Amino acid sequence: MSKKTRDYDADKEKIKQFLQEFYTQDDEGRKQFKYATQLTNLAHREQVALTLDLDDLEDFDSDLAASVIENTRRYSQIVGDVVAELLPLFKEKEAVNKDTLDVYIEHRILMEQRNRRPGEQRNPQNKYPPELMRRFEIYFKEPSSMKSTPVRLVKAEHIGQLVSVRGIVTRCTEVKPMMQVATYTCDQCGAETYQPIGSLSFMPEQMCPSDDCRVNKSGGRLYLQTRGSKFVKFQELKIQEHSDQVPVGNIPRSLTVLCRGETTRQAIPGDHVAVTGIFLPLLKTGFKQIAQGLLSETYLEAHRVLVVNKSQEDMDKPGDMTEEEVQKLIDEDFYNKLASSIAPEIYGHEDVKKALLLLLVGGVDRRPDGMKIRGSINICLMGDPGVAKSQLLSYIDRLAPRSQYTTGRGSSGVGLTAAVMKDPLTGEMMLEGGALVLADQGICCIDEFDKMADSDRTAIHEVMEQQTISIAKAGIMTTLNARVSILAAANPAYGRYNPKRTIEQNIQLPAALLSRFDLLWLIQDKPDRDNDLRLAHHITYVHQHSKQPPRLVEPLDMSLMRRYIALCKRKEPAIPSDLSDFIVGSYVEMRKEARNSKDMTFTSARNLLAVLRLSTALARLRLSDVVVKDDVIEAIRLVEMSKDSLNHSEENRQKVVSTVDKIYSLIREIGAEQRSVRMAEILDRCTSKGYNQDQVMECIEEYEELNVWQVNQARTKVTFVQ
Amino acid sequence: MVLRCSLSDWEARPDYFKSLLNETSNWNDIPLINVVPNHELQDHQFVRFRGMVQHMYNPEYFMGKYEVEHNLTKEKQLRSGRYRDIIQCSPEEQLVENLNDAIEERQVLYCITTPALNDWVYEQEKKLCGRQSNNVPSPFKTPNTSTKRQVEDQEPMDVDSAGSSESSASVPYSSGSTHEGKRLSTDESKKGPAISSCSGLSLNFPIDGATGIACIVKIYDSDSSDSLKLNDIIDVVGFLSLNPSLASSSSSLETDAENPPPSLVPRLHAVALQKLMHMNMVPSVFDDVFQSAESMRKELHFVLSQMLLGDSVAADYMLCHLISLVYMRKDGLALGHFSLNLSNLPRRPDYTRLLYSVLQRILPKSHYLPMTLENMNTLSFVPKMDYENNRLSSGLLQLSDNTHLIVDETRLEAGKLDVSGVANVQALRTLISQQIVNYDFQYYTKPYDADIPVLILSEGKSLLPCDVLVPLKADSASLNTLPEIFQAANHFLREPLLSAIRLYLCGMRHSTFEFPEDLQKKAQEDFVAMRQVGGRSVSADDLHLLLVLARLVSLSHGEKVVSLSAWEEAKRMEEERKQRLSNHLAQATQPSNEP
Repeated sequence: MSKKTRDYDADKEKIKQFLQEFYTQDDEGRKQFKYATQLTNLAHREQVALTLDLDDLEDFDSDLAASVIENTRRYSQIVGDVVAELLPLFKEKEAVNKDTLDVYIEHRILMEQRNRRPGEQRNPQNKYPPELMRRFEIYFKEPSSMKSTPVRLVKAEHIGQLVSVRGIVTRCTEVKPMMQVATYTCDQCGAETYQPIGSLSFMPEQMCPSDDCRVNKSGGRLYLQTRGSKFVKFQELKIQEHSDQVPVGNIPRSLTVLCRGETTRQAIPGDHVAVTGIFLPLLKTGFKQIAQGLLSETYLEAHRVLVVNKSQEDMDKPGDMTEEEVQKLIDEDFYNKLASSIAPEIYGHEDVKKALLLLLVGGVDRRPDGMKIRGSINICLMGDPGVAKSQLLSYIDRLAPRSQYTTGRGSSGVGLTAAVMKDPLTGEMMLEGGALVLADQGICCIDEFDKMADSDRTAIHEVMEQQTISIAKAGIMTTLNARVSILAAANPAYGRYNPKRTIEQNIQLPAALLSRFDLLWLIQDKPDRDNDLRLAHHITYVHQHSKQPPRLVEPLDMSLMRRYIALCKRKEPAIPSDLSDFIVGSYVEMRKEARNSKDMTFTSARNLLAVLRLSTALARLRLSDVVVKDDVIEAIRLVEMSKDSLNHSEENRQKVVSTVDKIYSLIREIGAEQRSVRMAEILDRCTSKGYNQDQVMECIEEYEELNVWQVNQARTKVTFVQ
Repeated sequence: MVLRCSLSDWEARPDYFKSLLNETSNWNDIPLINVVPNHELQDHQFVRFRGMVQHMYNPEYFMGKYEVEHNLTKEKQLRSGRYRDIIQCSPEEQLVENLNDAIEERQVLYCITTPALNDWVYEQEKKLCGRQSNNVPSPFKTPNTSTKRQVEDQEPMDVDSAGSSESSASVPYSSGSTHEGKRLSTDESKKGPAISSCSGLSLNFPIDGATGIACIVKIYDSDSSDSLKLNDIIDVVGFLSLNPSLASSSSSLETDAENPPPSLVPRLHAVALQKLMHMNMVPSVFDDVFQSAESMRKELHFVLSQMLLGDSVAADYMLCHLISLVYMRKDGLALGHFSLNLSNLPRRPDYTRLLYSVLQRILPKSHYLPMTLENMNTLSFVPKMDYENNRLSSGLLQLSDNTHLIVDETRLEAGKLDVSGVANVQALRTLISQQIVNYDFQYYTKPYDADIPVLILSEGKSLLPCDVLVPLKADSASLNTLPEIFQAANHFLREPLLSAIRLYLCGMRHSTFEFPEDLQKKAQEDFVAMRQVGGRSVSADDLHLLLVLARLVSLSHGEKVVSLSAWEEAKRMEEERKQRLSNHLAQATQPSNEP
């Protein structure tokens, strides 16, 4: 029962001292009296809300701050009293009367001074209630150490305390004026009577309590006076807990939030909000109290309503990792360990996961002489339907601190880039950012990349290299930042990836766009004895033991990953000059190789940049400031592997089919115009291309069987069948 | 014997009563409000309720203890606020408000009688409780009982006897049994309170037109409520609260819906609660069932193959389907679901209903959904949060675990699906493939685990994805004698065999099971071999399916450990099915190529 024994008078003095004397030191060492300045503003009616940061109070007196959290309503009143006392001291000039109430207050103060006779005992009903004379509002800001409580865990023991909750606004009423102090005048004696109102409903006073009326029994009736009463803005919100806070199989809970004054009009339905407020029981009056006397409804009296969208969620920054944790994480195999912790429920695909890890970390941005070279890594995942592309994307979306998940066919008019919208109320034009703009400095996961609208596709070229979006619509010309890493997933155009075609044909995206991806992965489902066996083992294990099989490396916790990645991002590794020869050498090698083996992908200068980005990302991952040779080797390996994944499938078949195919296309080429081709000519051309006679004959026979062409009896002429 | 206990008794000797309730057999001695008519219930009566959790409200805060002061004697008395809604305070007394710390919390659940509960379970419940009720003809009915009316001919529930007699007429072959006879008699006396309860504020049943009661259950110990989930079937014992002042008197819609009049929705203050795994009320001794499993399987297989027009393979699959259960969930993966698509059904309009009429007699909970365009477009499948009324508007797919859903696709005609129709089809697809229903909370959707075995009856391959597709190979001779076959099947399914089969299905479904190590090796090797032969067409899903099938096959034989023979059997079944599928496909495509 320490609450009851607290000395509120002493606390009041302390708060007074705090408000007057608390200061912070700015960069130049000058004292900033944070609250004293605000008090001056309040006195001049330039500010309405005074927000007490409990962090500051904690610095001043931690015990006091703790008891404020325990019994917030009481202290809110105390602070109000203190501020009212202090305000006249801070008044430096005459404040301008802003509205009728100000005028009323001024008159009332004058009246009080004029009428006051020393020693007179005033009727409390006729005395001005403090609320009537105040034009400021007191709010508390929760200390940063306070974690937000899930709506579900706000329980009876929190009543009267300051709690901070998060949720989604499901309903909000209009902002209405709520009477705070009712003012009545008597029709007989003309005296004013005041009635402060604390609850949602009140019982109007009927009879005049003034001395005149009571003594004379004149039975003066009271009439409510709207202009003299004090109203505050009032809004009721309903928030519902986030879907991830709801235990499996439960219905999301909701909470009523009552906002007054400056906390109103902060959120609209659908907003994600963080609300700090006092959890209070709702008092019922009259008949209802008897009928449902055992029950009490509860609400949260808002002190701070803050809209948090996903992009702003870095409000509660994950704490830095301690040296110890980092040391524990970094062992020999931590690169593999981190990679396998990405989407642990998806089996295999180690290299893809490594690439995704590097995408999360990102390369280093460079700005040599005004030119900007992006550091963010773009990856495109392709593959047959049902190879867990979307799962990988949604995992990255969950893991990344800032990310947007969208499909190429983004349903809203805003689409991927940005749209100019007309405000329905004001008629003004305004810009609304699409997914790419919202994901600025984060990751934009785009599923069904191939099904993207044409207008977005053109805009994405710019995003992927320049990292900006230029808008020239409806008279608005501007450039928005879109420093995003793009993680795209695309389905092959004809259901399955056809290895005989090029990527552009398979994905139906222009080469200019595809070349902007640092890595293109083709995920395919191919029978392979070892893989199959491991998969079978995995599945049977799950069925047998009703749980996932134990892993060699236990996947890391998501929040740990997040913190580690945040740590990595702070590093700005540089590439030492002695490595450049090596990099240049391997790039030239890559180009040469690409020329020699008819490559389905492109090897261009962009690949060189990709290698640089990947190697800086790898260095970041090691928390190192310098890129070493191993990073470059690994980066090149990843690029090679991604190319391999595209070309590999082809090799399998080419050995069996493609010579015949190539000869066929050659023959068609020769006979482009004519209907028949001489055999000698065919043999001539084919041998010059390096095919021997047997192969040519095999091809001719095969296609003869297919009725593509006919060969004459003497086998000297090939005639195409129309 | 009726177990009676007044609120003051309970408060005086809670431990004694608690120990009584620990004995489950005593539960049957408490009046079940599902079967006792409303007018026989009294305020503060000690009763029992059995139903499904349909919605969870926010917790309620109430005064755990309060003090009253007598106006004259000034005598103060401490009273408990538990198990009550109303303050006990006589006119001579006055409430003393000083105990600030006495505020307690209780969970509030909105429960409804188990949806899609079949008649025989209801009768069973009634018989068990009938011992203590004064033999009053019960006007109450569980939802969807005799009026398992087909949803397509649903009208508002105020047409009572006409609608139900029509539907019982449409299932003529099932009315032969004694228990169907009872059903007709209850129809006569049906103009009870159950009907009136459906007018006005809807009680929020998942199935349109179902009857039953709803009940608001208030739970005091939070530890028992934490494990409760939406759609759980619970058995609650507690004190009834019927005080009319509980009905909301305010004008706001929200409080109206939260506080319906207690005459419609009684409040039940729970003192004991248990979760029910299955609805079969017979003492749960399943050991005997395993002894006789083999013979039960034979009998049931015989009936099923008769019903499926002599198709033994389809009967095998059907048997497995009937005992399937989602036995594991991990990372969004549900294992054990075994939805069945019987295609190539004989084109006879009454066949699907005949089939269902038999299934209904052996399954505790089932629902027949004719997949007509109208149904797909108008019914709501997915529960949706109604913020106006602060409640979860139920949808057809809000069914408790192990409720069989029989989708009759033969009723589907060509036409246009509108937006809600497409959403409904999508919801069905998600349910079948992942056993998940995405409830609509408007600002987001939240997936809820479900365990609803789906049986699809169709002429061709269904438009819904299914784990197993079995084209029926009908014996042409039996097509002509369809009514006789079903009459015989219904005749065959009678006591005591009927109860034994019900028990068998229930016991096998919930049995524990093991997958031995050596078989695991074998399965792995077989899978790799299959991949080598089949290439891309064999995927991980096939292995999942095979393992599930092997489990069900061995369980259906009453074996708790998967044997090699069961594995081989499962493989054989799958092979035969695939063979049949490709044959069927060839047959189907051939005629179209010829002209």
